[in-house]
Amino acid sequence: MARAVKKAQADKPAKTPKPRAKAQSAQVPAAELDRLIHDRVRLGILSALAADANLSFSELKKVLKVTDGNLSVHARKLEDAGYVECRKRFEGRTPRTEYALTPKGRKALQQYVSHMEAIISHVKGG
Amino acid sequence: MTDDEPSTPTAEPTMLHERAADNLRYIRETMESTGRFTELSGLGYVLIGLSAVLAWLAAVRFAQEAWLSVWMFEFAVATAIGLWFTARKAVGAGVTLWDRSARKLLLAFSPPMAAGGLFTVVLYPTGDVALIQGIWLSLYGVSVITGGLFSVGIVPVMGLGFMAAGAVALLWPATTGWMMLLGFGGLHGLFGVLIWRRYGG
Repeated sequence: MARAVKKAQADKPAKTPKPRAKAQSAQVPAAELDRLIHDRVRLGILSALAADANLSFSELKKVLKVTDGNLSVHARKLEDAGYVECRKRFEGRTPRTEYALTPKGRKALQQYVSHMEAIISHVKGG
Repeated sequence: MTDDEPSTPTAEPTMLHERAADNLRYIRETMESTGRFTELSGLGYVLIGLSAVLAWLAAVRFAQEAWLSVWMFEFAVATAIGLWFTARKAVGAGVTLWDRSARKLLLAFSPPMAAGGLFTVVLYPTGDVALIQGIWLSLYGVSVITGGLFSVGIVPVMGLGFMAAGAVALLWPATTGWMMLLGFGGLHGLFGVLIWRRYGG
């Protein structure tokens, strides 16, 4: 039972006791938060791009300490959702893939942060 | 639900609260780590320390008149060692050496070094070796601290060590020779080993 509750929390973190004030501003559907941002690698990609406007594939890989395949898969999901945009160009003869946060992705990250803050203040506020 | 789980309703928000705090911490740490240059080579620093010991021996024991030439040669050797081993580590990690974080580090590292060069040119005719070398230690410490802000956390600590050595050398000129050995030889060697163990060679 405890394990089931824990798993449910892990799978559906947004379906929590409804956070107050700030949570109301976080209007992103719970399922979208879960799938796209709650994953660690995808959350890391958005966070890194929020700090630095453009990061190459190798720079993101270095920051997040993930494999090429793992980063590719998660970056593609964010790209498909319109949260990041990907540009490919050449530096001399070397191909370079760069990622940047889109306005939609920035807004989603801000809402996610607001959501997390609301959960914390909800618990602290009793 | 079993008897041993009566607290689940209260435990749930507590766990969620902890998860939320953990997620926010992860976001902050990721944002902070973006733009950090982590390819500094511990082994490279150890070898720079060893080359500095040799330079110190040469300058103190065998070439007192040519002390500036000896240390300028050592500066070139240390730069070459540092670049070589850093590039080697970056290639090993599958990342490019000359990325944004490396540029930031170099941009932060260079101005105090340039100031040190200027002081050397101006003060060399005075023959005040202790003053010049005290300034070298201090400004190199500043360079390492400012550049180290874009690298792993242990690097600025090494910079503080150099600034301390520089302060001792400037306040007590008789100790300058030993501070040069302790700083460029000892601190590079010590922190090289620490970086090697924590972040790789």
